[in-house]
Amino acid sequence: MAEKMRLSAEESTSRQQLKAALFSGDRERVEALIRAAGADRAGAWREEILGELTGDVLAGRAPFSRLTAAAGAACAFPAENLPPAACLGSIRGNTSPTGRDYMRMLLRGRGVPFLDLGTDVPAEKFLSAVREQGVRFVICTVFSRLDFDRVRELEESAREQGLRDRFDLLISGAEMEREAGAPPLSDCGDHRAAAVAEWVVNRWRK
Amino acid sequence: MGGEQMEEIRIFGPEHFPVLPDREEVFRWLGCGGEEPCRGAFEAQWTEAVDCLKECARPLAAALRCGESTLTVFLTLGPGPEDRMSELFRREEYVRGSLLNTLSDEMLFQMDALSGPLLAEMLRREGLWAGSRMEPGVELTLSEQRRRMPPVQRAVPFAGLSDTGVLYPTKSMMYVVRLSREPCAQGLLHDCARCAQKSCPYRKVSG
Repeated sequence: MAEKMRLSAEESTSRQQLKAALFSGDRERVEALIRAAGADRAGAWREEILGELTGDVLAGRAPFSRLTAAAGAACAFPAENLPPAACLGSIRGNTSPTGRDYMRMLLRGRGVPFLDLGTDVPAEKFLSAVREQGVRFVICTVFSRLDFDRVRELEESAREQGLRDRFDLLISGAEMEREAGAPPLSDCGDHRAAAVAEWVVNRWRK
Repeated sequence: MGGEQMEEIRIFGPEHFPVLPDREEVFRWLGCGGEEPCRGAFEAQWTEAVDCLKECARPLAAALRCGESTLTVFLTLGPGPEDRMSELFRREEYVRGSLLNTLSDEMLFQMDALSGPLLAEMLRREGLWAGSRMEPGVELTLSEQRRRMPPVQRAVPFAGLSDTGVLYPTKSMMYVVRLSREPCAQGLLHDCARCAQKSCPYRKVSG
């Protein structure tokens, strides 16, 4: 019993240390803690810690910069050699790489394997990734209101090709007011990058 | 505003826009107060990120006067900052990349403030005054922005506007000023309260 309690206290301390190292963006310290705790146990803690942090960021209790630092430090966890689960890119018309770059960061920090299709990406390129690489999540980053029309065209094209049931469609970027009664275009329903990434992580882990 | 001819182009180059970031403002935009656990990580990258911005930014302001009625203004840092940011993100250097992104945004806002007096002086010499500032998505429609883009592109060849209305390079802004021969308050400065980007992280007013 005493031994169990000692181990539990040690574990709690290690988890706290990992949390502090992630939040302060200390990649070397994270590497050392992974070696000490083992990749599986440390990986489970990373999921809990970054999941909680994402919740805090979305609720306005923590800044996005903390998530940035943590995602960078979390890259100390080796990337698993898995087929891509998601493809991401800025939809045709959106020439800005910024949203795409942050989405890359959020997925890499959580270990989600992905294909980066770049910027100003035509719908067909996203659908090819679904058809040929079997990705389950299509993440389009948008900037302007008109970019949503392009995502809508992507969805229609997917339906016509019989592909729509094979993937979840997610939009990250500008907020948009929906017309009353119109169905949500994104399967996630929240356009904030952190919310989209968390949604993908949770479904991918299942 | 249709049917106008662009008459004069004036370019203000990097000598007018030094890279002098406001450290506290940048950390405020990042939400990195002194107690924030990630503050040290961002502080550690400050010098490198500023040097990187100095190296890759090509700041310029192009002012294109349409007769005596309007002035089209295009401000940009050039494509360097976004290219460098993507490169840093590919190398998993997220803190430095993110800092470069915020530094670039802050510099663009500084350029906007610095270009106001330059443009006002330019107009004053011609006996003109800046009336109201028309912002994209508010008074400046996408079709009007498109119509004004070709002369901007002749002055700034790497600039453009995508068909969904996204300016490139990413770190750019464009607006139009109504001109007047009658003295009036110089309406050259950006007003967050009138901006269409309600979810802009740098918005200085609520609502």
